Amino acid sequence: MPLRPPSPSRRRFLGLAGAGALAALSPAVLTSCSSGGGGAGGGSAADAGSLDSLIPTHIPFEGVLPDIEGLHGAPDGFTSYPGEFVRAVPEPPGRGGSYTAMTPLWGPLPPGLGNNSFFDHVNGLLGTTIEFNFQDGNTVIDKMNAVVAGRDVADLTMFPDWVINLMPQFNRAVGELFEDLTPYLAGDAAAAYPLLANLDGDAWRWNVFNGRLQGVPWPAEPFGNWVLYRRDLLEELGLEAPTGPDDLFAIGEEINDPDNDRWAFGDFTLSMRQVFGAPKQWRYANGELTHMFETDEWRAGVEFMRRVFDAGLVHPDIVALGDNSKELLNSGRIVFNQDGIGAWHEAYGQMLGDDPDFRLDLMPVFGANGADPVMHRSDPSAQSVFVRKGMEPEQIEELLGVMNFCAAPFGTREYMDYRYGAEGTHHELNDDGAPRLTDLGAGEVNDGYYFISGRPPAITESQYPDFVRWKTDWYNHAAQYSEEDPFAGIRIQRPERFAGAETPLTDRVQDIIRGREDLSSLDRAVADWRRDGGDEGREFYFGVLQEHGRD
Amino acid sequence: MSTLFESRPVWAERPSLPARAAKNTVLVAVAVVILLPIYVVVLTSLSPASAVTAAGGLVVVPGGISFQAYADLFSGGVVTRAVLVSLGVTAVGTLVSLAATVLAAYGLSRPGSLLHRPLLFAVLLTFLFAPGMIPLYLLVSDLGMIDSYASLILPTAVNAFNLVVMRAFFMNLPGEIADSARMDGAGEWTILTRLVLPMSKGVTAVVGLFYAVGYWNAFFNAILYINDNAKWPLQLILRQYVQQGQQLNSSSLIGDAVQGTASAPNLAVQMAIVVVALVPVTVVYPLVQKHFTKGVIIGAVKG
Amino acid sequence: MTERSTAVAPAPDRGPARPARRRAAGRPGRGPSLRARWRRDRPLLLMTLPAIGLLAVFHYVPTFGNVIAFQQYNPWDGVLGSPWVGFYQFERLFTDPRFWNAVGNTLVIAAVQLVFFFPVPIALAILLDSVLTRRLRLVLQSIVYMPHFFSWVLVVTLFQQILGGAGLISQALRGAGYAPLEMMANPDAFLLVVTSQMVWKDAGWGTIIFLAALAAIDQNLYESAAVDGADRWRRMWHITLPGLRPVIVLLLILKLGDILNVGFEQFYLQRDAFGAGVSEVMDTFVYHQTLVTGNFSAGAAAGLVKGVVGLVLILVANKMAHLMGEHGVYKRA
Repeated sequence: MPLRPPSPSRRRFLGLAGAGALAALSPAVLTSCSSGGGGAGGGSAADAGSLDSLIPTHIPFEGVLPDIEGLHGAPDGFTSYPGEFVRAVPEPPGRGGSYTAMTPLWGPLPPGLGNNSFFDHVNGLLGTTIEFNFQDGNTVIDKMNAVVAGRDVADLTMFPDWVINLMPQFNRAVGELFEDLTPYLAGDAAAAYPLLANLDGDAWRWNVFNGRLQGVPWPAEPFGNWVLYRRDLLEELGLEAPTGPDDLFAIGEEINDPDNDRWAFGDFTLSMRQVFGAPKQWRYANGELTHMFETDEWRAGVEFMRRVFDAGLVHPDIVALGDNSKELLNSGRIVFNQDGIGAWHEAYGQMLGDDPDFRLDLMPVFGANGADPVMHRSDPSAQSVFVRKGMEPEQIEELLGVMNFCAAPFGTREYMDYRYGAEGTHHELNDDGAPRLTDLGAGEVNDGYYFISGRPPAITESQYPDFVRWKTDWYNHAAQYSEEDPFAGIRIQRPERFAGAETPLTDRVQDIIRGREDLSSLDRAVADWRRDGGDEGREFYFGVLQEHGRD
Repeated sequence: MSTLFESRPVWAERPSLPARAAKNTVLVAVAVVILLPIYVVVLTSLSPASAVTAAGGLVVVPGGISFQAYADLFSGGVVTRAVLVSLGVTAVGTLVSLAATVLAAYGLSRPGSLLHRPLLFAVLLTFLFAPGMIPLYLLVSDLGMIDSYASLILPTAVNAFNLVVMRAFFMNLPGEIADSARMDGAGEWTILTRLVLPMSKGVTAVVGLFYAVGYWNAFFNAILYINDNAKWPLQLILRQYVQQGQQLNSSSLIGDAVQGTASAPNLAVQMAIVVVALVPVTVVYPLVQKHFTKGVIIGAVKG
Repeated sequence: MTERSTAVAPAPDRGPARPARRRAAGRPGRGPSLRARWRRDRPLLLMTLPAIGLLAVFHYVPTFGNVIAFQQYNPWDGVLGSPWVGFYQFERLFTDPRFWNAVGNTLVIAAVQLVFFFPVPIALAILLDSVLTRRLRLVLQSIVYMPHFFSWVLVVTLFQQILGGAGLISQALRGAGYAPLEMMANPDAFLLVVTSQMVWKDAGWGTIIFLAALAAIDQNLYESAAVDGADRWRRMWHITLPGLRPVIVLLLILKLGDILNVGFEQFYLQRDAFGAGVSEVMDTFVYHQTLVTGNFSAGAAAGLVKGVVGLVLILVANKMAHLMGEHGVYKRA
């Protein structure tokens, strides 16, 4: 007998709470391209090309130079910590003000202001008191919808970009809730905040709404997910890294050994799309827009995954969509798995202590059938920080100074302070100069300051053997295959029917690769998608191209 | 033998051997099916990183014991403070809810009384139609209740299901007692507190438990209405421990600092959270169960 | 004996309020005057005031927000500023074949829950109640309700690790040269799996209310029946079950009112593993429809549909309960 769920609140919030809790994991969200524009179903666009007058003039920070330069827009690599940390901000930026900052937090809640010496340390360096109101990271979309509806924003408010994309009418809310930063940051004005001016121009352009520069960006690594594999296990088995999809399949068959609790693969459908050369969303050629779903390349990727599943190469937990793929990879129960690229150094942090020979690597980037792969790039800014409307200009300047401080890149004194606290108190430096949190630091240090500004992405985890070299090698190779996205740099709100039509099709793909539906049912599903919003989307997107003179 | 069946009433026959065997088998099977997964959860919470990795998930065969997960949870004082918040909200909330529910259940237990049907119907409708998240947030905000503990209690204080169940129990009490009391001139308040409630300890305990568990487990109200992290309840604090590494692109986190102290594996911490949240529940249940004593009615009716 | 024991079932018109009910039972207009009823029932009305007040403020006021079902709502413009679209959201729901697939799945799951889940806590409660050793009973009861406090994520994970294709049982089968289990991603096993999960998680928790009801049964009845020569089974049939009947009927009716809410998380988590074809329920459908597009109005429309269906079912079920001589949730005046 299903008793009423005992929590008085659960029934009411079940759908929404659950929704928020899982929003971050929704594949539709991960693959959704971009949005943030105008009215329901309507589009607005901020043209990347014409925005140059609104964003800061770029002032590269040259205080710390990388050991391995990133190519084709890949992040720089640092193979060691600098022996001496550079000061990037000579004077404390603050004027003694007190401000609140609302940001999501993915991780344990630290003790609050007044009980936390890390906050005291950084606030002291800033000359400004920042009090954080952390939000539950997994339900941040629910909270932000409520906060915006109630006009209850903090002095500084951070929105992950995927949250902005999911909020209806954000484009209008942003202008009424938050200060226009254009007068403070456009062009040469940004010279007052040189570390902000050091941030990538595309990331800044991404934060222009309605012809105004509204937010401070967080420049993102160009790629989000890829296939990680157990390099140590493959070498142990005397095998080389795969060089193409068929090779990958053959390796999978060779290493698959369910009787001994080892399967070859997790699910890497998204990566295979790129291997087979499908576009991230639209391909523009000969005056026509073709959606990923309509390309042969995408279909080839689905067929390949069907073959992989049919052959029993995927771990049963992953077939059943269990969420333990990290543990399976770390324990060697699977050898190849797609994950966020950040999962690599997280796994090292967890595994190397017990198993010094543990090695992961990113699967080499290769194409299929003699063609190049098409690597899908992330949107240029992963989050935005906004300043509450109605502040005095001095206050805005003070907050921009704080954000400038927190934009200090890897290798600076400030970076060490806002990320790891005071040396000797919250962290110590080990023999190769890498920070090591003390017990006090482990309890108090948190991502608050890290989240109220952005800095150039960099590959810095030099404490892990070979890590920086392998990762930069992969990036520099992969980045040359970056997709030419016809909509690059344009924020677009996807029309509602277009966005909604995607779910049935992705459902069908799940059915197909798991063998519940025949491959031939793909045609029907794509036809339905066209009818239920796909063609509408094509028209809309074509309009955007014309609007921006890119047709 | 006699001690084993000491609570068997004199009039009840001794169950036959096969019947007893069958019953015991079923009970043992039920207990095993439930305890086995609980054992897995507890064991995982006590496992070191190596054991969790070796298991590739939840740990079934012990591979060492470590209290690191619990140490991680209770270091820093944040959890301890949240326990106090949750205990306070649960205690006050349960009292408020129980009081309002008992009163209304009794007030609505007399068919034919003034407005009885419309009021009952109004209660029932709340069971069927739920308010949306944003209108509720705007209401709480307009009432100035953001960042107040009241926002964790009042919006969910009355649950229609609990109210209707309690009312049903009240209505199934023998009516003669109340009738005779009324004839003796007793008021409704007296009848409720002196007669109805003493005869309804069981259901009162159950509904109290439902409310208490609801307050104890709730976190979504706090997500919406509490900005001040110092006022977060335990469940919300605990949720934060399982979110590490879940941010998109995960280019964040303290991850690139060398871990200073051996930190517990995420899965062990998650299971420790399950165990921590389960403890108060196991402590409270016997208190509730105590009120399932039989024979109360007999005493009341005949006495 | 039979006469006696049937008479012990709490009769429909028993209750603390018997005389009042009788007075009011006549046709409208023949009862006491409004003023007399006000004087008589004022204490009762006062007692309902706190609960009704709380519900009015924190439930009814925000529930009016559900009018967004007739809008193309966005939180920024609010209810007052968002455009009205009439029944557009409902039309969209009703013309979507996947909505009807979700409704169908929901009804199948609800039916299975009613038949295979609903009775389990009752049986378990009777079984637990029959354990005579007090301490053992306490221990058993404390154990069976624990899984209720496990999240669905954990329950699904546990099932996977035990029954999944790489789980304990499958690996043992492989080791012995047999084929592994294929349940956790097999649409044919979907109902079996989700019902087992439900029973495991909530059957024990569900016993609590029945244990309270069992405790409320007059023990004298058992004694008299035993003296009259009724055996264990007859006593259960003629005393225990009738004693539980009002609660069972009440919960059944409430369950019917809630029939389209079979749960969200359990199905959300396993939707893609089993495929939307069998596992999409109304809540997951609405979630996927609305989250991706930020369309709160569609969610509100679906909520209204569920509420109206629940209301109709409660009214019908309640009527049937009356025909069977039960109180039901509320009573004919």
